[in-house]
Amino acid sequence: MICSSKLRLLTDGLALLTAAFSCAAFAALNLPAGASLITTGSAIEGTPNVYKFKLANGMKVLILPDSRNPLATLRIKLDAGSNREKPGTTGLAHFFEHMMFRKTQVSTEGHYDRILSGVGGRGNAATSTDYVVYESSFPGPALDKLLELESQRFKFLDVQDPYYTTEKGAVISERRLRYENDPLQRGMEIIRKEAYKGTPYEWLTIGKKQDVELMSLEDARAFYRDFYTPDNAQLFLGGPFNVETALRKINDTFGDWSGTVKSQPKRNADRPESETAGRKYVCSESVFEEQHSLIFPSNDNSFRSSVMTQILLQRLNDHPDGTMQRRMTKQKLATYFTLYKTTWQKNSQPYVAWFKLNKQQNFASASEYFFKELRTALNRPITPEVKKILLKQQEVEEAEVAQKMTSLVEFYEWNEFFYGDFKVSAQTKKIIDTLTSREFQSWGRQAFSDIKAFQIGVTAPGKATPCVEFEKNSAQK
Amino acid sequence: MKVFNMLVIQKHFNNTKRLRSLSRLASPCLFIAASFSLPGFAQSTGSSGALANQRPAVMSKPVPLNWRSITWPSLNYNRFAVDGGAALYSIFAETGKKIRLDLLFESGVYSIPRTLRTNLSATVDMFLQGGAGSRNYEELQKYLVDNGIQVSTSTTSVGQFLISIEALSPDFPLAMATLEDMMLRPRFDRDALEIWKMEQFDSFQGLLDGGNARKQTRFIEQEAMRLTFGPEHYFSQSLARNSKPELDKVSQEKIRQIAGQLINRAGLNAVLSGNINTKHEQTVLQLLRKLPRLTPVTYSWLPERLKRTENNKLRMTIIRKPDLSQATLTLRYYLPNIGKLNRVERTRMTILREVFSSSGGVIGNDRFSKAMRSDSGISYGPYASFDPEAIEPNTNVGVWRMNFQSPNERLIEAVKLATKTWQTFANRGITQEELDNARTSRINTTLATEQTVFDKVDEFLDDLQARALPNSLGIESALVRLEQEKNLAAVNDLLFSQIKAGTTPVLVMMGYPNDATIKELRALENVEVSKVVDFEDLVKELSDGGPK
Repeated sequence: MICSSKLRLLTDGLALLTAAFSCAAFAALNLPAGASLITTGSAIEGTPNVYKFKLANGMKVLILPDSRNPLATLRIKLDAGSNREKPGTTGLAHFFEHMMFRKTQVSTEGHYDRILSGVGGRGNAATSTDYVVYESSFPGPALDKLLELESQRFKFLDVQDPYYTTEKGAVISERRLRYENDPLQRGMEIIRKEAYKGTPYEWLTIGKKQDVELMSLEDARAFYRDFYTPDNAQLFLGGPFNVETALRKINDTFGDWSGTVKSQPKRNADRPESETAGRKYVCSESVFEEQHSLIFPSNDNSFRSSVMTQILLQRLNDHPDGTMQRRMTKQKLATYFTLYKTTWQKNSQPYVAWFKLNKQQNFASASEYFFKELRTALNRPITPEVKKILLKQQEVEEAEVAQKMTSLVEFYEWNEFFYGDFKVSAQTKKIIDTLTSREFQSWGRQAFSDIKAFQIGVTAPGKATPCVEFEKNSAQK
Repeated sequence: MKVFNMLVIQKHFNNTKRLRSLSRLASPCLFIAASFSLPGFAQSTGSSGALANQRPAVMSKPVPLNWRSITWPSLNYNRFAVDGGAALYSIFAETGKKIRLDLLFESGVYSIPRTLRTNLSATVDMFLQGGAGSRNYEELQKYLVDNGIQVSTSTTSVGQFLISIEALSPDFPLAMATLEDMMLRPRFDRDALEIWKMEQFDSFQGLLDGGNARKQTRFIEQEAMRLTFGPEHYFSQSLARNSKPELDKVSQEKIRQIAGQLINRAGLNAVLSGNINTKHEQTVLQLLRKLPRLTPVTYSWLPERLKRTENNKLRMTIIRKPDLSQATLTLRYYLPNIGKLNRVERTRMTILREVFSSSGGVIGNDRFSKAMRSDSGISYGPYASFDPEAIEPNTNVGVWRMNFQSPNERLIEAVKLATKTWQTFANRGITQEELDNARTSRINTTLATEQTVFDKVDEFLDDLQARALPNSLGIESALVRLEQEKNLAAVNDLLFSQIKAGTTPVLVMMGYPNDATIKELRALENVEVSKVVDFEDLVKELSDGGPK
C-alpha cells in the first residue's frame, strides 16, 4: 500500500520506473505482521540498497545489508534532545542518556556493559539539542544478543536509586569538567542564556547547574515515559545480514515496545528578529583564543539551504590569494574562519560565520572583511567550471563515505532524521546542476542579510565586560 | 560520544604507529561531511559525588562466536624493486573509487640533528605549505581542492618522513604530477614560512591558557615525561618546540638543507593501493626512479633509555591551577627492563590489559573503571592502557598508564584507590574467570573490526616500519594465539616477572588541591612529592623556550 501511495506522488518518469522496479522487489519480502516497507534504494552509487520499514508500533527501521566485514552496527535515534525540556528540568535528556546504560527491570546493574564487551562490541551515545542517539558496533553473529540487550533498556529501564543519584554525580562531574572548568565554555553558556532567551536553545544540553543538582526521580521517569516511545524512534542497522531475517528479529524484540510520544505545545525555536538584529552578546573570560560568531537567523530548514551554504563556502574559498581562512590569517584578521548552517537542529537552523581570533585581533575588522568578501562571492557567476568542481568534491566525499559500512549507516541516519529522506545525494547533484547565478545571489543576499545578523562571542580579558558581570547585568535587566 | 577528554588522552598516549596530522591539504568537507558535524554532547563514563555504589556481580559468561565460519581475505600484494634501495608495494582492491599512495622515507626525526627538531617540523609542513613547482601554496591548495586530491605530510611515531596522497582513480595522474613537484621542485617560499611561524605561535599561545582538558593534558604529559626521564630528555621538550625562541631559529636555508636529506630513494618504501592497474604502478615506478639516490640513512641520535633507579617510591608532581574544581591525573608504572616482547607475550599482555581496562562497554566493568567510577563514583572517565614500546624506537621500556579525574576534595581517596587497584593487579594477577572472559571478549572483538583496503595499508606500513613483511594469515594467527591462552599461571607469571624486574612509578596531577591536601599527599606511604608548581610558572618557563 505504501508502495503504491508513494508512486502516485512521483511525477518524474525515471523515478517512476525506479520506484516501480523497487516495488516489485518489495513484493518478494515476507514482512512481520503490521510492518510495512516504505522505500528502498541506494543513496550513493555503487553501495548496497538500504531498506526503510515501519513497524506496527510506529518505529521506523532502516537496514543496510553490507557483507564487506563481519562487523555490524546498530544506531537508535530519538527525538528526545534537550529541546524537549522545560525551564527547571534542563539537562534531563542528557541525564537520561546516562541512565540508559544502567539497570533495567529485567537485568542487573552492569548487565549492558558485561554483555556488550563479552560479545566484543563497543557502545556509546550522544545527546544534542534535538536528538539522542545510542550506537553500538558488534560482530554480526551477535545480532540476536544485541537486539535483546538494546530492546530491554528501551522497554524496561529501571530508574532507581542508588544508580540514579550516582549517575547524577557523573553528570555534575561532567559539567564541571566540560563547562565550569573551561573559561570559553563557561562564557559561552552565559552568552547563550541571554542571546537565546525564551527558546529551547537558551540552556546547554548538559543543563543548568541548579536543575541538574535538583533533578528528581519523578522528572526522569516522566521523560522516559513521554519521549522514549517507538513512534519517536528510528533504528538503523548495518552489517552482514539478510534483510528479511534482520527485520523479523528487530520486530521480535522491539515490536512489543509500546507508547506514544507526548505532544508538546509549539515553542518558538528562535527569538523574534526585532529583539536580536544588530545586537552584540559578548563578554570576556581568561582565554587567549577568542571565539565569535555572526548568527543569521533563518526560517529555511530545507536540505537545499544546506547545500547552498556549502556552495557559498566554496565560492568564498575559491580565490587566488587562498581560502578565506588563509586570507584572514595572512592579513592578521583571524586565526580561523568557517561558515556553516546549523543542520543539527531541526527547528532552528541559522547560518553562522565562525571566527577565532588571537588577543591582538579585533572582531570589527574581521567581520568587515567577511561582509566585503561575501558580497564579492555572491556576485561571482556560477559557471559550468564551478559546477564541475562542486560535483567533483561531492564525488570525493561520497567515495569517502562509501568506503565504510559504518559511515554509510551514519549518513543514512543523519539524513533520515533531519530531512526524512536518504536520497540526498541525487538532490545535491540536481541543486548544483540547475543552479543559476541569479538564484545563488538572491538566496545569498536573503540568507546573509547583515541587517538581521547578531553577534555572540567570548573575548580575551579587557576587551569586553567580564562574563560574570555580564550575567549579573542580564539578570538585573 | 564517550568521554571526550579521555578520547583525547587515549589518542595522545596510545601507541599509534603513524602520525598523519602535521600538515594536510584536502578538499573541504562539503555536502556529506558537513552533515556530520555532530555537536558532541557526550555520554560520560564517569561519576563523582558522595554516593558509593556497589554493583552486583553478573554471572553470565561471554560466549565465543564462531570465527572459523568467516572467510578472512588474505592480503595480496606485488613488490617491485627500484634500483637505489627503494621498493613499491601495490595492493589492489576493486571496491572503492580511490587510489592512495604512501611514501615512507627512511629519513626523519632521528637522522636530522636533534637541535634542528623545530626546523624539521617546519620542513615537513613546508613541502606543502611552501608551494611546489610553478604553484605557490594558495595556487596549490586551489588545484588540489578543485581536483579532489588529498595530500598529507607527516612524521610517523618512529620518526620517519611520510607523504600520503589520495585521489579518485581518473585523477591519479594529476595527483602524481603534484607529488613530483612537491618532492623534486619544492619551493619553501619565504613568505609562506612566515605565515607558518605565525600560525604555530598562535597555536602555542592558545595552548598556554590551559583552558580545557585537551590543553591541560599536554602539560600533564610534559611533566610526566620530566618526572620519568628528566627535563633534558627529548620527550620532555615537545611543548617548547613551538615557543618563540625555537620558532625564531627556523630558517629557509635550514629547511632546504633538511629537505635535501629527506627526499632519498635509498630505503624508501612506497605503497600503492585501491582501485589500481598496471599503468598506475608504472607511473609510480617512473617517479621513484627520478628521486635522488643519496647515502643510505643512518640515525644520528635516539631518545635516551630510561635509567633504572633503586627508588621505588611513587614520585609525584602537582600542578596547581586555581580555577580547576576537578583535577586530572595520570598515574604511570614504567617498566624499564621489559625487553622486546615476543608474540606470545604480546597476546598475554593483551589479555591482562583487557582485564584491567577493557576497550568495550560504556559505564565500565573492567577493574580500573569499576574501581574509579562505578563503585566509588570518583572519576568521570577513567582509562588505563599498556604500551610495550614506551620510547619507540627503543623498545626496551613498557608502561602501564592510568588516566582519571577527581574532585579536588577527593584527591587523597582517588590516589589511594588508583594505586591500590594497580598494586592488587600487579601483586595478585588475574583470576581464571577473568582470563576466560577476556580471551573470549578479545576474540569476539576481532569480528567487530571494520577494515577497508586503506586500513590494511596502515597495518602494512606499520609492518614496513618494523622491518617486517605482513603475515597473510594475520587475523587467523592472532585468533588462534588468543584461543591458546588458557593457562592462568603463564599469563600471571609474565606480569609478575615484568614487575619484579623493576618499576618506575610516577604520578602527575593538575588541579587545585589545598595545602592540607598536599600535606596529606606528602605523608602517604611510599610517596614522594617531587614538585609542586603553579600553572602560571610552567607557562612562563615555556614562553621563554622551555627548561634551561
